[in-house]
Amino acid sequence: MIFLWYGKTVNIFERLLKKDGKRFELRSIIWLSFTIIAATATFLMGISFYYRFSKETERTILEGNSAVIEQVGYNFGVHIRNMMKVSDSLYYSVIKDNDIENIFNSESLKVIYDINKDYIESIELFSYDGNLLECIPTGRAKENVNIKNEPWYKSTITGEENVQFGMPIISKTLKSVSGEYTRVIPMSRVVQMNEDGKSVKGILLINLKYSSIQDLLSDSLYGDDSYFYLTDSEGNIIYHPMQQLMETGNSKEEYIDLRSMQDGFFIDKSDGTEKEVFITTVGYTGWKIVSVTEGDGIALNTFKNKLFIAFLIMFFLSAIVILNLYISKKVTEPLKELEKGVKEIEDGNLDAKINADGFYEVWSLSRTVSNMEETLKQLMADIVTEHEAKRESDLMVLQNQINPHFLYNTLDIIVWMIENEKSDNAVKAVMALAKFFRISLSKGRNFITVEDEIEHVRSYLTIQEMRFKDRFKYTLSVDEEAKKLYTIKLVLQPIVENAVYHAMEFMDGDGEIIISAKKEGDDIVMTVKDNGCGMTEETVESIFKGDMVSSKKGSGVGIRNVHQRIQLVFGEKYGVFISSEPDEGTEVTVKMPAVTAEKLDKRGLK
Amino acid sequence: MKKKYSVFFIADIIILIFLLLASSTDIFVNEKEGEVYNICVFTDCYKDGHIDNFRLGVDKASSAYNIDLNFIYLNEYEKINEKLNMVTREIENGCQGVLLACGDDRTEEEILDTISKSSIPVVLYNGTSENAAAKGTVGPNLKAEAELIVSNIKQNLPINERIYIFEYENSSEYTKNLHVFIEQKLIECGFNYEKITVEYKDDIHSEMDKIIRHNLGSIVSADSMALENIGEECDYYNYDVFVCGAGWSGTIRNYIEKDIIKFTVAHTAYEAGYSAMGKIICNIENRAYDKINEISVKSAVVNNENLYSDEIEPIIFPYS
Repeated sequence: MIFLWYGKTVNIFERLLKKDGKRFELRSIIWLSFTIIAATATFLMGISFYYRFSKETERTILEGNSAVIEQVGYNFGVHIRNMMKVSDSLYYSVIKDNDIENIFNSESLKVIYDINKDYIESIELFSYDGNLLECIPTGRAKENVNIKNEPWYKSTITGEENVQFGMPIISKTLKSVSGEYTRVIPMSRVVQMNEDGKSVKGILLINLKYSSIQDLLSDSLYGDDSYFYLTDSEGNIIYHPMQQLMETGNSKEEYIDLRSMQDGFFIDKSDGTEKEVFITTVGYTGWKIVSVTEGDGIALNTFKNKLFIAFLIMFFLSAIVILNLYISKKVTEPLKELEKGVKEIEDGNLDAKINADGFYEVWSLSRTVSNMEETLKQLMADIVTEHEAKRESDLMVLQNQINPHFLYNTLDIIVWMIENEKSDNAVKAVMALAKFFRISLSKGRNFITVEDEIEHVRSYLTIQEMRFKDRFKYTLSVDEEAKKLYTIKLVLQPIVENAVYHAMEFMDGDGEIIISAKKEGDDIVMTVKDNGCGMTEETVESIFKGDMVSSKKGSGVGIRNVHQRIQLVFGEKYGVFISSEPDEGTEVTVKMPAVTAEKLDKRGLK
Repeated sequence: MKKKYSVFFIADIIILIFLLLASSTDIFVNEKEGEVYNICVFTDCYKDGHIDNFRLGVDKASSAYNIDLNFIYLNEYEKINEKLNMVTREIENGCQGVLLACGDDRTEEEILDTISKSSIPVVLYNGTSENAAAKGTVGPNLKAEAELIVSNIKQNLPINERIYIFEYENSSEYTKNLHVFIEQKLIECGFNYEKITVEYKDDIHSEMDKIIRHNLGSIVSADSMALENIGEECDYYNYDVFVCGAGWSGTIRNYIEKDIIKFTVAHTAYEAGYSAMGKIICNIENRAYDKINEISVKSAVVNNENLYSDEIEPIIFPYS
């Protein structure tokens, strides 16, 4: 069951503290660990102090109680000794060897009685066989009193001690005053007197007021849960604050066998409740004063004190938890800001502001990350710029690979035509050449309309037709839809050039080159188809690989050049696609996305 | 999550406030003795030994139960109005409970009527009343006492002995009721009896003179004052007559010692006083007191032989 609850508690904590149920947050770890450590330390210290303080308090209270009871015992002992001194004084100063007639006429006797009448009820002198001889105060003695059957008399006669103390009794020898009864403690002794010149024994009885003992012990109470009681050496109760109720059965004092108990302190649990009991013995009489303190009398054990301790523990625990929450929050907040900023950077936002402040290390880390972000931004910009420049450069280089050969050849033709007075053709050639180059340059633009690209090819073929007289015919067609679309310039001419030089090489006037351009979906498809000698697959592959050995007319660089330029701009999905059958012919397809003027502006490709 | 923290925080504050208030104030937990109860004891009974012992029990209960006690002897006031005024004054001074020991039924009813207006609980000592203010009674079992008296008479006297029952005109209702039970018991046992009601002490003398001179019979009285007067008569005139009864005082004790009064029946008035105070506290606090409205205390026969015995001493000579 304990393990089950432990497991459940751990699960609750994990649910509360784990981020996304996977990992503990740093803040949770900090406050939980600080709280546990501080709470454990506080709890242990609190318990230690409580027990130490409790023990010290108990010890102090015990010492105090012990001092009180010792004082009470001392006071009581003093009282008893004083009474014994009175008895001694009476005996040795007044009674001993004195005539009976003179004894009670003695002024000393009256003085002794008067001085001590707060504690003494009466002083009575009996014959040895128990007949009352005299009594002070006079007139209080009953008539025909005989005390032979009284327990105190018997113990006086038989006892070893000089002075005997008896159990409290209602005095039978004294008349009641105003109907009141007198409870006394008989203090008696055998005395030697003179009667008619003979030494006779008698019994001196001094009735000690029970109320004086009662006052001595009841005034000594030191708390609502504490009381004293007095017993003889056998444990018979002489005085108890609840004695009357005990006599009538309405109250009970748990019997403690005091006969064998030493003086001192012990805990009594005989009636199921814890009581602290002190015992001290009064000298001479052997009487025992017993102090009883109920368990709850000890201050720290009260319910309210326990509540207060619970309050203290809970207060400090709450303070620790709140403080640790605050501290952990303060420590981890900048880290969270930093984490947030880094996450934004991770998501691609290089303009994210990292405002983490707080501890030096976090601030420093935040500055470093910000700087890193700036550097990253700069590097990425540089890479983009370089990439663009490289692309531009590559494009330009690729383009520049095409132009020189054709110029030379065309100029040769023109010169020949002029020399052979074929001026019309020369003009046609020159005009075609001019158009060819105008379109080639296109004011430095890399993109021209499909219409211009077809015109460019047308110009080329016009010139080539003049060169390769009637070796082939050609057709050019372009969809209206495709005309206004844009293409990378000089993509068809190299392909047509290859068709002219390679495909038509062995054709005798039945060669045909068909060039078309149309829009297919979102793409432009330009086709150059011939019925020439065709190519093997290996040849086609080698063209794109660049393995082609340079031939006398061309090196296939043009097709690969076109393919690379297209892919450089538009990606690998587009480019040049060759379908060829040896002796059948070749179809070269150039595929590009359909780019309008607006798209061109947007992509910044113009 | 924030809402959960707020809930915990508020709960924590509430618990802390509760613990602080509970540990430092008396709002929730009161470990102290409890309030001090203001209780008045009114008595206009003859101040015999029973009343003295009753007072001792009441005083003991006062210290045990944290009671601010006013013990008032109404017999110091002659007129009923003066007595009622005293009662009213104490009620106005904040009396919360009353223990009433009244010798006279009429006075008892008038006092109860006065108190009933204020809904203060009243416990009667040696009394009975149908008044709603009276929440219970404490005292001896009169039938049992009558039984004790008559059985001891039977043990000591022949069946043809005539028994004279003495009472004063203003004897308490307890006395008169006990005499009624004694009469019943005497009839059951076959004794002849005669009740003599006197007005003054001198009347006792004249009546006793008659009885003694003509050896008419024996005397019993449950009136402490009457019993004392009878004993005094016997002591003074040396009458040899069987005298017994119920009641207790130092004088009765002396006559028992002298064997003038053969025996008396006494009850534990100390316990009656102590128990009565406890019952009043329970009524004030609206607690059940063993669910008993009548509390009977023990009675015993006291004679010359057992006067100072361990069994009798707690009844007639209680520790204070």
